[in-house]
Amino acid sequence: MSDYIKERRRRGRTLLIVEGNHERNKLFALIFRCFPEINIDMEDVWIYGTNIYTLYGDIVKEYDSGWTEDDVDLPYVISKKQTAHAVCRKEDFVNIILVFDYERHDPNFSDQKIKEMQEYFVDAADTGQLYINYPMIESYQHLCALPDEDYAERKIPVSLQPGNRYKQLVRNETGIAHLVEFPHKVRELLNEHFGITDERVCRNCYEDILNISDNKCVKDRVQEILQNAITGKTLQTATCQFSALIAKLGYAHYGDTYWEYMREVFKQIILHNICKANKIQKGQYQVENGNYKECFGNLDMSDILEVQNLSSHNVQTGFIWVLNTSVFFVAEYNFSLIG
Amino acid sequence: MLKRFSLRNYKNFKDDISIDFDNIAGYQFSDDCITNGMISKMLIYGRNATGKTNLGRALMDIVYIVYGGLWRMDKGTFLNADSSEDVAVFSYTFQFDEYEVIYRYTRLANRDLRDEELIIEQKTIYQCDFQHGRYNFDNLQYVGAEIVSIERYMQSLLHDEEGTGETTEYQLPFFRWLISNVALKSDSMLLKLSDYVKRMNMVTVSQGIMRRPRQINDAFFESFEDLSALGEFEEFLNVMGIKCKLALRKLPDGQRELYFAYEKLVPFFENASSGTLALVELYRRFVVAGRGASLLYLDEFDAFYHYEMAENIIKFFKKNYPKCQIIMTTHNTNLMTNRLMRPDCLFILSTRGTLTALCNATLRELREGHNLEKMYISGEFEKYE
Repeated sequence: MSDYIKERRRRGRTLLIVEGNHERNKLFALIFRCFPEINIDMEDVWIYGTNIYTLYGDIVKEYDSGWTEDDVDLPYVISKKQTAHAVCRKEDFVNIILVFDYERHDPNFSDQKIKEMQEYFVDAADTGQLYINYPMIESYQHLCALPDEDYAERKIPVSLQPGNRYKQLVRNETGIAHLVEFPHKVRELLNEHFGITDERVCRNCYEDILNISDNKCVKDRVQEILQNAITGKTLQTATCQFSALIAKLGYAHYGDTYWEYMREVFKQIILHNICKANKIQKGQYQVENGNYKECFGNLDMSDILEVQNLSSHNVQTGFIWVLNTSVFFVAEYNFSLIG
Repeated sequence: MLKRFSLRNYKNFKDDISIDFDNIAGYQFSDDCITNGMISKMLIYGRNATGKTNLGRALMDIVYIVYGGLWRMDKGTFLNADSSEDVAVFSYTFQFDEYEVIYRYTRLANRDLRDEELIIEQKTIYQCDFQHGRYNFDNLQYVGAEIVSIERYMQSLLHDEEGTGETTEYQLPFFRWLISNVALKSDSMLLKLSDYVKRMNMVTVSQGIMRRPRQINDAFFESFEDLSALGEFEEFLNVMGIKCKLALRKLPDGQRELYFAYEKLVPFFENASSGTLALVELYRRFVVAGRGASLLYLDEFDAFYHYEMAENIIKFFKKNYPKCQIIMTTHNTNLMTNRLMRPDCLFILSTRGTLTALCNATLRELREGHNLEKMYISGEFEKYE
């Protein structure tokens, strides 16, 4: 066909602007696999690279200090700066979602600036919706078990800094991380430990292992998957090791593939965080009549930020409620995904 | 008021398509788009060639059925070219006070009626199947028309059948025959229906006034003999953003001519901009001729308008014609806003021939603060376009 208009505009795209690698390649890549209904192209998940205060600076640079009165075009501001993306406009996206850390410990922290940002970016369908993670993105793993009743009261002292110390705390307490890490672990074992160098073969084994959903003969199935890739004695060792790993995680035990199992895990994580947000905003952890949708609709990210700003005001004695709002984007995208 | 219009197998509409005026959502804003629980101000968007004009023509089809004449005889293909069905199906559901009145009919490719049916409060009043010669006039007493001479009506059908075949229409609609041959009570549903249909109108603003026969313009000018009428017209133009003064003069041949009153008089129609002419056409068709309009289909109503004027027109309609059901088609996305409209009154006509309100075209719950225009452009409603 003749190319009359050179470039056809893609419509219906969702833009996710995240702070770093973990958000894009660990959390969101996994969420997209678990919720295939979410139609977001990984190319439209942009890593901004630095924190929310730098983003604030970039916005002020483009629109001056009175930017909150302006119609801010975030995709433009960012794509102009980052040569990795073609220059885009907000009209190119139906949803614009920003995921940033609270960064209480950052030298540039300003409760006023972050408040302005949170109050301005409240509409995913227009200028964008800002989700702030308290204290940082890793908080989605900060559940010790599922369900975790203690999550209602989970908070960390402001004095727990820098960020690496919080990450360590999560590693010590989490009951989620090993589930999230599982695909990476499988990949690493196949590739490095058992020496499958052919990328296509490795990929197939990886996909097949994660898609096992029948608990009756896991071992046979694993052997079947691996026999064309690994030979000799190693095949036995590998079969035993993967079977043990799968049994430990237990997804096939419930008749689910890994992705189906993790979908349920994410639903739980999201519901825990809706309860927690409700507690921070209204002082009540339990959602009335189990009406999570209504509760979610009534959440006000600015109110939550204000409570967090107040409680963390004193650097010595203050605290931050642990809360991950970035997972809310699933609920915002379509609540029935978690309903 | 018209509650529902549905259509099938007409021009580009192969499958059923309907406009549901009573399908409203519970928005608490822009409630001046709603009258008596029904949509009274509707905007239809859609890509080119999706059938926005055809939908208007189809909606107006009833005017021809009820009143006949050469009104809007379009020469294009009548039935859908991909369909195997041999008739186009039209159905109009009205709500007159507490009564629901349904008038349904089908037309063949040559525009002849094949069936006709009138239903009031779920009771079939009469039914005609012209093709097979089957008629049911058992319930005419419910509309006070039992005294009508069915024989004479049947004779008129027979008479035409024996005719030369040159008549454009030989199946005289029973409804037309009924309202012109029976003395009906003033509160009759038949009169309400025929009165509503009489006051339906379609305006294609871009038609432009200059292409009309001279005598029509003349009749329009004549109405300005009354100076207050000319003043009103001038005020209308000024309110809509066209600052001007007007004067009417009688020419030696007795005809009238309208002028812009500058230092010198400048003939109005030869010099007015296309936007002004479009606005005048709207005024002529609507404000003068259609003061009591029941339903108006304004096709591409703001094709020549500045965005502010388009907004003003809608505000003008809302304020001055709250009861009139006005359907406007447009490409002006600036009007796709909750400031002026609401998601249940903004529709998209798709290339597949579906008509969907914005509130039903997304899983997202649309709120007053949403920027509908941006959402439309970025593809939020893409599946329904």
